[in-house]
Amino acid sequence: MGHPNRRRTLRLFSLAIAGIVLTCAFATQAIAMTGAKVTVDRDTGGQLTRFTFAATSGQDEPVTRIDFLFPEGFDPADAKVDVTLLEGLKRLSTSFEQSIDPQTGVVSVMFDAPVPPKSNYLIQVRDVMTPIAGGTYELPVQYTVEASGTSSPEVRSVSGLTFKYNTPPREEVISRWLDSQAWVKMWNSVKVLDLFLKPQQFVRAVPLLFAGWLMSLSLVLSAFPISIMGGLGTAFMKMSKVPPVRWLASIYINVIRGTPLFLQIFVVFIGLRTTGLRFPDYLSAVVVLAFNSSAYLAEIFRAGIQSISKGQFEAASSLGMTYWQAMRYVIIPQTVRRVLPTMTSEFILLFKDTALFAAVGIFELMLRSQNFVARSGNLTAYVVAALYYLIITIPLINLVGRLEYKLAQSEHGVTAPTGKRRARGGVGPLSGPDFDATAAKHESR
Amino acid sequence: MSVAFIEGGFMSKGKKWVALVLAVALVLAVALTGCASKTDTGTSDTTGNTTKTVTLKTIEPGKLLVGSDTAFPPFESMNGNVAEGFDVDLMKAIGEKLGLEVTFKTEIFDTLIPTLKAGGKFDVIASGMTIKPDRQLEIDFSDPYYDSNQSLVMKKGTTYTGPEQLSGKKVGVQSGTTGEAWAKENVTGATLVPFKNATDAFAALQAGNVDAVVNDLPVSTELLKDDDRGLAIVAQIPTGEQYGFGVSKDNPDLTAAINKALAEIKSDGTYNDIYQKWFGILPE
Amino acid sequence: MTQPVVRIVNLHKSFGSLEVLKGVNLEVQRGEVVVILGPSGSGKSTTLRCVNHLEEPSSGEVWLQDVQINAPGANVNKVREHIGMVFQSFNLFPHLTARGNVMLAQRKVLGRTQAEAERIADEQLAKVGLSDRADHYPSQLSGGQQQRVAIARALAMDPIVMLFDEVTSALDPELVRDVLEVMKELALAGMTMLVVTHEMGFAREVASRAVFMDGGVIVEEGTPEAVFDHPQNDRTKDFLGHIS
Ligand SMILES: Nc1ncnc2c1ncn2[C@@H]1O[C@H](COP(=O)(O)OP(=O)(O)OP(=O)(O)O)[C@@H](O)[C@H]1O
Ligand SMILES: [Mg+2]
Repeated sequence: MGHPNRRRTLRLFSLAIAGIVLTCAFATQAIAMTGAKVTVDRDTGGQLTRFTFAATSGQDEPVTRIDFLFPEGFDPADAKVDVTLLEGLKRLSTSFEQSIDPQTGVVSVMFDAPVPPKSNYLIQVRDVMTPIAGGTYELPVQYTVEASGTSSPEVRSVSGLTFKYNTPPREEVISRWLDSQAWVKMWNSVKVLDLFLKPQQFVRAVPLLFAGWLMSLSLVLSAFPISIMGGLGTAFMKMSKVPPVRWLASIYINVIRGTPLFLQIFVVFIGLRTTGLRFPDYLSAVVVLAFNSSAYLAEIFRAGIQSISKGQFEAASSLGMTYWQAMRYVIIPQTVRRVLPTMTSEFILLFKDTALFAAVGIFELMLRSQNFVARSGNLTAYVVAALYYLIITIPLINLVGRLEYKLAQSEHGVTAPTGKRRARGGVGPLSGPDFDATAAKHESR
Repeated sequence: MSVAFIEGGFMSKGKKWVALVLAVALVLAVALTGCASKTDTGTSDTTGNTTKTVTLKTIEPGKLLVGSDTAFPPFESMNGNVAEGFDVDLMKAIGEKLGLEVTFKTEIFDTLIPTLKAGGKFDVIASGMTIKPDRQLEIDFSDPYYDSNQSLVMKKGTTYTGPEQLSGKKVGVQSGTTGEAWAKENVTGATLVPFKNATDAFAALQAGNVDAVVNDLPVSTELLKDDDRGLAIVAQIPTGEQYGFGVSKDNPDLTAAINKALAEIKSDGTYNDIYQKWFGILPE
Repeated sequence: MTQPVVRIVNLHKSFGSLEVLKGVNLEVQRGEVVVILGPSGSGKSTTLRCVNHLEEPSSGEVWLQDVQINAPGANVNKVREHIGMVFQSFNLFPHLTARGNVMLAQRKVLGRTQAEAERIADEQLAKVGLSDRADHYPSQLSGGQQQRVAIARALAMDPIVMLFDEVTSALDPELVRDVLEVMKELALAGMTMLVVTHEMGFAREVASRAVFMDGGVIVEEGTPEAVFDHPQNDRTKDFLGHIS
């Protein structure tokens, strides 16, 4: 109890004007109930809302009645009241009657027997229609203490109980409009459609999941360039003449490729942090993704580089190029063309893998949709999430197909832009050993 | 090699469409039929002096399939691949009364209700689920079988002064639970981080990924019982919530039968035995 | 006597336990065209590849003028700049046009400007008769054309010696002539050349000296007439009997 409790008797002329008096004069109100607060379960106005009043009654307060004086604009006409009484953590049984005065907006709870003092009250007033305009409102509450000895029943009040919500955003307004449409009702009468493609939820989910989509995309876009560098570096380490360097690369590649990404995420987000090593969430996520896909890319690059015929390297060397010049100007450019389809596939996999970060609380697409589903009990958000993933993956899958086709053509000289026949004789510059990195990578994780 | 690889990797356009249409048709067919054969089971009610036969619809005849997020000790948890816990024993006792063999199926908490509604996977939810009006819009609940409250868990040694303390912090919750709802309503200004289950949330708290976790009190108590992770319950949050078993609105007979069985179990002492077994004390 | 352009002294080369070169000695003077003949597996390619260090000699010495390329610490890349090599399988860079192929090493190794490299590339492509193919990619060229681009690419580096390793054997017969023509012109222009080939006509016409290798050693050498028409060694006789 941080502040002195004061009491004041309020003479009650009528409930209607009492509300106004209370609001104006709350600075001088006495509060006997402690820890009183009011919360709402909705964050936007203009809809049926549940109000939860929580408070603990005072030492000498056997309460017989509680009144909620809903302000102007709030419509509790169809409200339902739930009362939970606790003594400490123990639930007390109770029986009560509720009454609602739609004119004054007063919801009253009348207990059949006075509630023992020092009880925890949890009163939920459900299905109160709120005004659409957001803001901070106050809900004045009055309670009646049982007459004791000579004194008559006393009405006390609790004020300063504020709650707030926002004006509904556009998608919310649309969604509510859909509620009343006949075709929507018909559509939703089909169980599958209602569960997976409910228009109202669809409209809500699209803007809400958009941020998650951006997060997923930004994670993979940040990680992938690092992966390319890391993958290239690791590929060269794996091809090194120095055995320990080669081993190191092999161990890294095999450990990463041989364990689930999910586990790697937990190692960084839970394991490392438990030992005190922590980076911000976003950075950690990018690091895990980059670490993971570097290992895959390393194998793709290595296979790609080794698929370039030895003659290319020898030709470059015979012209006086150093190892790195040969790599930079001759081998890598050819490798890139060859690994582009596989790299794109890896990008697609990595993009989908961002979903795993849902488990560690990164608000990407999957977590947002899970959250949405959990809150709405409707699976439409998953369909929306799927669409968001597909926006990225379908064009890329297409691209992979086209790249692979082009590559196959150029490797076999099926067409040449000028229509010229390519050299016969089987020792063409591109016919290196079969390039299997693609096949190796097409497995899923 | 490359040619084969292209053909292997990509169906021709025509084939792709056929496959797509077939897949969609299959999904719809399965979903519409609910992929379950509903069979009637005659159950004898032998408690009264008159023997009345209740006809119960279950997905598999003679069986009661129970959906549960089995990472919620002491209510339900997996011991190897066998579910155990207060809810499990209670459900088994109820199954016995109904003449049905009880089988537990693990399902993530926040998909329990949609899955039950969709039908075909399980008949009942027994998952420490609080009876709440918004849930009652979706499914029916049995009579309450357990009184619960919430808890706030933080690093050991933290003094908790009130919800304001969590403003600007990260609060871990289990997705779809009353703990989440409480936090959403009461801890304003905090970022709520949803987890699949309480165990994950506690791991995140230990790792410092979140600053606090709101979770059902009995479960927190159980999970932190022999805790060496430096976590502690810093506040008990009286919510007076009550757990109930969830049943599809299409199956009111089952709800009634469960209620009847529950009442019997309570009166014949079975409930107390199970309570004692899992909480070490008798219910008040 | 002037300093030889290439000097190979007691060259040995083993691949694992297989000894391929068993003491090769050879000197090539400025302006000489030396043709190496011999049965398959006799070590002709290996000898050539030791000259520009694509193979590392097991023992012996390989000199380019006054620089020993296989000396420890020798700047191999620097020496290679001055040795042009043309391969049986062309080895053009498929991602670059004909001109790009000829320009790349000029730019990156010799540090020539874009304009200069381009001018020289066009000059060399003209020399091999491919001015009109400068912008074509290797896949758009015939084998003979590709091989001529490869020669232009090597020449653009201003080499002091050119190595040719069976440069016509992957080509259709009708394309061989163009390539040999280019090589002949090169020889006439005074280029020092070390050529492994089975083209006897070319050898007779162009070579200043013929060398016959067998079993990893030089068995016989002399003027083309001497070696081809009056071979002294039985193995040479046997080999020439087989190919003519
Ligand atoms: N990198 C290598 N590893 C192992 N053995 C090799 C290698 N390169 C060449 N050899 C072997 O060395 C021997 C000589 O090869 P080389 O290519 O020098 O012969 P060649 O005279 O050029 O024959 P051809 O006329 O067939 O080209 C052959 O037996 C060959 O198999
Ligand atoms: Mg050879």
